Amino acid sequence: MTKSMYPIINEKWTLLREIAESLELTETQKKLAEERYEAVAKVLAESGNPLLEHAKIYPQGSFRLGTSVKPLGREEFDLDFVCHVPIDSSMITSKEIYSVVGDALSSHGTYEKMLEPKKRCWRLNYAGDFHMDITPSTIDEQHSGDGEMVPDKELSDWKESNPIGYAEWVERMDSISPTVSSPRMAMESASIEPLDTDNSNNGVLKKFIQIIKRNRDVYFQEHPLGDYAPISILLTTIAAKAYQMCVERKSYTDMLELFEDVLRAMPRFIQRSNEWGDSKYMVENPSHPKENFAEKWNDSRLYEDAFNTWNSDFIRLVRELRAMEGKGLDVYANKMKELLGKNPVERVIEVRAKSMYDHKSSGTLGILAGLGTVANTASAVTPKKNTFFGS
Amino acid sequence: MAILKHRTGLGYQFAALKQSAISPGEGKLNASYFYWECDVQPTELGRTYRVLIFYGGDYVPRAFVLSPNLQELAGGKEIPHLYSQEKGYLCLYHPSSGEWNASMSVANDFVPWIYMWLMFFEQWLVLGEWHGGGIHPIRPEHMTTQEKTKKPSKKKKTYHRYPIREKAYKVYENRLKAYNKTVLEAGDEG
Repeated sequence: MTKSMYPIINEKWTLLREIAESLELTETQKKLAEERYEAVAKVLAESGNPLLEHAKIYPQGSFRLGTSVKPLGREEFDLDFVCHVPIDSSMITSKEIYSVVGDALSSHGTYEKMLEPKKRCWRLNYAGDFHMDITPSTIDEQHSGDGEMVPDKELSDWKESNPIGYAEWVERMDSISPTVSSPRMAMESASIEPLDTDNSNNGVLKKFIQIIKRNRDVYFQEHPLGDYAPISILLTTIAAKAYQMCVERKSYTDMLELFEDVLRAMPRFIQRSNEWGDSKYMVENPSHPKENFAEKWNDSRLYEDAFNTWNSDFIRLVRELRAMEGKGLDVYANKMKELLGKNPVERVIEVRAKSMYDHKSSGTLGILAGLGTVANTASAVTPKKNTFFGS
Repeated sequence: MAILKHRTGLGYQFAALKQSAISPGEGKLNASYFYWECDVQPTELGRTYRVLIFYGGDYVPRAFVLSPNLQELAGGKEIPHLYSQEKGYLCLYHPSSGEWNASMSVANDFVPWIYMWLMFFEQWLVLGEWHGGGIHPIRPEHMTTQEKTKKPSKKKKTYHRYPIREKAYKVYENRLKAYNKTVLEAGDEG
């Protein structure tokens, strides 16, 4: 077995990855979001309220991690931010800090019309692009380091949180590269390498997370258990733990094999305990042991049911995709539509088709034995120009 | 001149197809024409198509898809850039533009066009839109009344009775029969 640092070149994975990437915020949207939250921070700091003078706004969740996924059926992404007020949580109530932030925003001409109160955060609606959900936070004096306190759902008390520590944890998991063992790759790497410009295995976990979140959205869109769909932070956490376990134990010949293993391993990171015959569920925040991402699961068995049926159907689809060989682009596209929805699959194939046409027009499209039609490859058989004719 | 004739003759083109790694298959070389049957997988995710190439005395290569049946894949929709929907007879270049001439290589120019056509075909199956570019000749329904009533020119008449093309069709029918027979037999054994 040859160990290689080359990525596993596999068109199925490449296509899936491109579809996941197409669901991310665009670079323009990312820049816009940064400009906007910096503007909000400035308004808060200059609001005249001494509490907000040293407040900081920073992104948390999928926007911070780079795992955002375009929501189904609407244009706007949900982007989460923290407005951190550097004050001990014992000095102020969660209701007060919530009001302080809300007042500062609503008294500003620009934000007044876009502002919408949510349970424990403030939402700014930027139509067509995203909403910014801003959750106020204070210092958690009990937790050394970067612990924070955020309002609980009822605004009656504080609740521990650690958005920065959590993001750092996911980044650490994501930086573990899978070991690739593929004799074929080792032999052909010299000729295959130029085909893939993104010659790195970095960010595999983040791509997995995006595919997982998107499949969750597609699967539960019209599902009777839609209200019990697993939340993103729970999925992100158990996917990262499963990924770490898989890549540390095994080397892979194919990225989809790793992905299937991750899906299979995910359920075991939901801890179940039995108290008086009642199942208790726990998915610990790895950066803050007191926070349980599966807190809601203790209200109804349906959360577990929803998770299990989704997880096993997902594994089946990925296994079917893995088993397919040379079936035809349209057949793969249909399988990927089941996984990720119709629109992103068609968009990515259209982008590919247009790029192939551009390469054909500029004479950089050629044929390589075993790989078929490829662009920008010196050793390919590159024909003279042609025009497809006929009715 | 003698060298050029040698380079582009039937024997040379046939040998080049035989040697090329992108047209694995078999065929038959005759005095006035040859055919070459090969497997073409347009992309890594693409199907493997059985393609028949016919090259005859007019030095115009022709390509037919023997399998799978393109019409079945298209599910009843009219496939763009085909001379014949039934025969899977591919339109790969503009005939009067000089894109193909007898000094070109069937193996290195014509075969890649088949790959590209099939790649754009599979994308068309997904998108319902042809992204490979190309030209559609004027169809009868787009002609003016004057054009429609105009008597066909002598040149066009000879085109319709083109014996080399008829030969190509005949070879296509025979090879399709032979191909389906081998597939059936292989199926019986398995």
